[in-house]
Amino acid sequence: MAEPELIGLVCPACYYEVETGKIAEYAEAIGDPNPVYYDEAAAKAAGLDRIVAPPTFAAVFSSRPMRELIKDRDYAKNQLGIDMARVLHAEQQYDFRREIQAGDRLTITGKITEVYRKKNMEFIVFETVATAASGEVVLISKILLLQRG
Amino acid sequence: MLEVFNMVDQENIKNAEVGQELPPLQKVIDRVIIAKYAGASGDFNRIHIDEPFAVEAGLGGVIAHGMLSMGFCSHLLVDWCKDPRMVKQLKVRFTRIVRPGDIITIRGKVTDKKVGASGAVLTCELSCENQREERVLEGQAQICC
Repeated sequence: MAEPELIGLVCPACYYEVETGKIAEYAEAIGDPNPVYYDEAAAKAAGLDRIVAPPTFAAVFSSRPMRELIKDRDYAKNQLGIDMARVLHAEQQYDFRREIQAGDRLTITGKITEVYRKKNMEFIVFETVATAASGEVVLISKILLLQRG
Repeated sequence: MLEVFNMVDQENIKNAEVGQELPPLQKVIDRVIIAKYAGASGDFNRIHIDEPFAVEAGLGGVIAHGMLSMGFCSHLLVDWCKDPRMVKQLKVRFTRIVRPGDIITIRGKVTDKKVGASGAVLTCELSCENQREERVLEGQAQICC
């Protein structure tokens, strides 16, 4: 069982470089053919500096600190009370300070910010922040996990 | 294939009215799409990939990533506002499991508009329904232009 003592627990920091090939793969996976995701000339013609990613491309990197924390299933279950067999992704929020760009070199940090129960379900909130090499915050992610009773 | 966006499209967004509905999208879910999304996102949770594991976990079989549906919402919004930079906030709740064979309709509606000196902020309500008209996702986006 996940306890409120988890609140404030810091996840391992992660590093991610945004590449054009990955942006194209992600855009194709969600079925979005917008040329600014695939073609630099199209991106520039649209007034962008370079290829940009769909906003939800954040999914590729923004939960990595959380995944690092819970990747050892035994540790997650026994030390944190998070049983991956019973966990579902219930909600997701992104706040974008700017668009995700090809070439971005991101550091992503994260921590557990909330733990609560409703009926026989537990909710665990991870908040992560993706920061560019310049120090500029690119986006903030809030991940709500639901652990079934 | 979309034409590259231009300033006229952005004026259309600034002139959007509360109650205006975004052109809906429809997506058919199959195991290949789920596999492609797993690869693209790096989320290889067995519930999306390993059928016996998903059955044993009580899910009935492999399920789609909730985040795939959120990606569909991104497609809906950027198809409409054209410029990915306009999407400033996205928040969603995954309300029902999405399975191979499901047909998902993605809808959006402008529910609020605030106009200020620096531009307009539109709030769009988002929803995704399956072929049984059951809601699989609900949420909200903030579009700034």
